[in-house]
Amino acid sequence: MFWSLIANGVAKAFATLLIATALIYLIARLFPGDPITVLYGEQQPSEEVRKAIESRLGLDKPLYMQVLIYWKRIFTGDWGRSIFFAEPVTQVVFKSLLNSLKLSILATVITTLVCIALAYLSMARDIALLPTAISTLSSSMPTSVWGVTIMAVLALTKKPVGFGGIGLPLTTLVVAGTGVFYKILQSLLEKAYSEPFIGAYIALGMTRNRIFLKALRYVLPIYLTTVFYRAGLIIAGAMATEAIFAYPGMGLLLLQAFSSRDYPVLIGWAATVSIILATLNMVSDILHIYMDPRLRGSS
Amino acid sequence: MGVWPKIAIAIIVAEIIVSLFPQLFTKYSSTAIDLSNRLAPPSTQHILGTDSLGRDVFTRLLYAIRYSLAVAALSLAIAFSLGVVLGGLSAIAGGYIDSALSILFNTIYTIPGLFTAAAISIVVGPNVIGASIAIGLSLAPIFYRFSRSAAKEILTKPYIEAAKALGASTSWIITRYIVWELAKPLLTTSIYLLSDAIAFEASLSILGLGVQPPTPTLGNMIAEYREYIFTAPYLLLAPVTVIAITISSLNTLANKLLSNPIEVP
Repeated sequence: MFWSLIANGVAKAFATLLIATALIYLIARLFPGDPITVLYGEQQPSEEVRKAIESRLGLDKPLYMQVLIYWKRIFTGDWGRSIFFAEPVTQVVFKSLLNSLKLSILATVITTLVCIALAYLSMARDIALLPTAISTLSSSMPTSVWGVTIMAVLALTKKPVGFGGIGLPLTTLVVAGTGVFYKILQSLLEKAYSEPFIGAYIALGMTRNRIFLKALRYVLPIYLTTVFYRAGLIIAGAMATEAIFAYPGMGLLLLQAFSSRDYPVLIGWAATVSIILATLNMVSDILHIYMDPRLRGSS
Repeated sequence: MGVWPKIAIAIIVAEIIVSLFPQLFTKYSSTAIDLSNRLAPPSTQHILGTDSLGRDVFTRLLYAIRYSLAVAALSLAIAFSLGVVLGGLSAIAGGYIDSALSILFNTIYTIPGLFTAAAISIVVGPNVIGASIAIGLSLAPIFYRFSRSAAKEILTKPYIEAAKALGASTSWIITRYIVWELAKPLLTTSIYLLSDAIAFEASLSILGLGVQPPTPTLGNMIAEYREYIFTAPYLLLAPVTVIAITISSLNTLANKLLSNPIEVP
């Protein structure tokens, strides 16, 4: 039963991916300027050359055939060459993707550690005001606005702004993410503290620090699942932040590809992010079913 | 009601009034250029100073609130009408319609919002409508999932079964029960998503994919003043503060609704 649901989830994710990539291709064909004009710029090729390129790229075929060819190219790893970087698209996208993943994962880990520290202050040390103030302030601005604000603070204090490095985007993501993550952790911990087993530990005379650790161990799996659900948002936030600080990740790549009208990269970028989002979506659905057995019957 | 939700409501009402009648609060035009008066510091004439083209920052801020709220409201309307109607349809119809719509909204969710925004700004143009479509499409799957699962849950409640057993038609069940039970959670979600839409607009503009100047929005004011953080850093203060206050107010209001149920007739 559970396995058939997983198979169903995988099939759905695959269908979603096929439709999404086809839509991305069709959207890209709506862009002004056909790919050959973009490829050649001012010097227009002769009619014969144009015909030859068209048939090589499959542009002379009907639109549904073009989509089929595009699907085949996605899954065989032939993503074409970047117009701007003169490198295969797969290579360009892969490099940026690694940088983005590094940033997102580091930011998530550090934010979680900060939130655990704040939760410790409020649950085990009765210092509630500071954590609440920090989380309210943090969630009052979107990640990108925090990025600009941090940059302005650095400028005002005459500190150098380290463009291209991981330090500033990481700081921004942690500062902007703390609010949301802390709220999730705190509400889970509050629920855990009202469970009978915590009462039993208190009756046993366990220290508050150890009780906090017990409660933390109890809520951590649920917390991680919740964070996983938000992974799409975390990646999107990271992309905006990267672009502000010129960190060479997926966000900056999108802007470069967009401003230089580098359509192969633009399509490859969208396909990559689609694959990641579809996978995350599928995994979090399966996790959801795994954690809540009631859902297994209904769908 | 505590004092914070009251302040939040006051701020939001004030912003709505400002965005409806910005010309009442200023004597300047938001786009009139005065090159002899560039980057002037705050004074009694220009309470927030002037920008790099000599335009009054306070006036631009008022109009920015107008356009940012317009983008947020329009994108919410797009997301709401797509997501809630089709989510409800999915839950009620079930079967193939449900599967097809689920795949459709998963697809929309899967296509990255920034790509949609980039594509729309090329095809529709980087204006209020384009930005609203991009943001609305990104938010629609959230509404869809939410109203689909909420409607499904309501449909399994015993009183719906009782109504069905008494011979209530589907349209009766929708208009009398589902709409009323969904109203409050949808209001809460809408307020949260309104603050998400304002944040999204700011991010798009900071990346240069949103509404383009000279039309001011809170996001493109930040994008514009970012260039002057060394020469006129105070310029950033106004739009950043307004964004922070707006988002905090909306979140306060939504949290209040979440913890304090309103009775639905």
